[in-house]
Amino acid sequence: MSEAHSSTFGATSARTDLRSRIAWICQALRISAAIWVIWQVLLVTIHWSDKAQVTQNYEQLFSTVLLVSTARYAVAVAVVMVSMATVVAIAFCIWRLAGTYLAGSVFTVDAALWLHRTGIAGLIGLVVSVIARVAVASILTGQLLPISPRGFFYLLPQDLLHLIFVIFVLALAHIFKAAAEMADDHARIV
Amino acid sequence: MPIIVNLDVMLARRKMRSRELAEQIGISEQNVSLLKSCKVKGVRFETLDRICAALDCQPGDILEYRPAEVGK
Repeated sequence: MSEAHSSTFGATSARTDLRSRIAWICQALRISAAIWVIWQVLLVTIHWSDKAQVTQNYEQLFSTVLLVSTARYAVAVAVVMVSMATVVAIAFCIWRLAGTYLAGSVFTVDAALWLHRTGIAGLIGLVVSVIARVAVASILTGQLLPISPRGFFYLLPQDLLHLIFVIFVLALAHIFKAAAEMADDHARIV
Repeated sequence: MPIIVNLDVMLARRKMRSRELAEQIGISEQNVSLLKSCKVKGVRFETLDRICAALDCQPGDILEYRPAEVGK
């Protein structure tokens, strides 16, 4: 609906000005998201391609000797790849959101929807990464929820920080949706 | 809504086209069309001022209040 109205009534000069001011931020956001996803996937792929090194890392973490079969290792890699899929989804949502802003649709329901999707993708990514940590440790050690003598590593302080950011993004999405509806009403005043 | 826009009537009386009015008051022809068909949420005093000046009329000639009939 908002798209139809914005096309009917045309963009105001304030919106055009806002678009030109945020253009570089949106481009930076898109490039950063693309670099982040490529970097992350590459790092994880390189790390998990060295089975001996990964096994050694987990042996040090749990202070034990691990005998990991190829099948079990493959399952662990599959779990990590699922986690990577959420990273790709987050980057895609950020890309689309910035693209929507670049197209000039800032205060639109469509942009608010992409912001909401980004928040949801971030929340899913966070939950999946925590579950993946537990699952990978369990698969590689052969124990359910193994305890490391080096400390509890399944839930980290940065997870809480990520959760705060994700909740903030979701709250912003609701605020922007309300703003988009108000802007839509305002656009219908001639 | 009980507010009726009689812009088309005034345009006909003044023998003026929507495009001409749109040019004079500085809004798009689409917006004039939406205003004529009551598909807008509101009219700015600024727009009303320009319409009245262009059509040489009063706001009451353009806007009319027709209360909704009881039972409808």
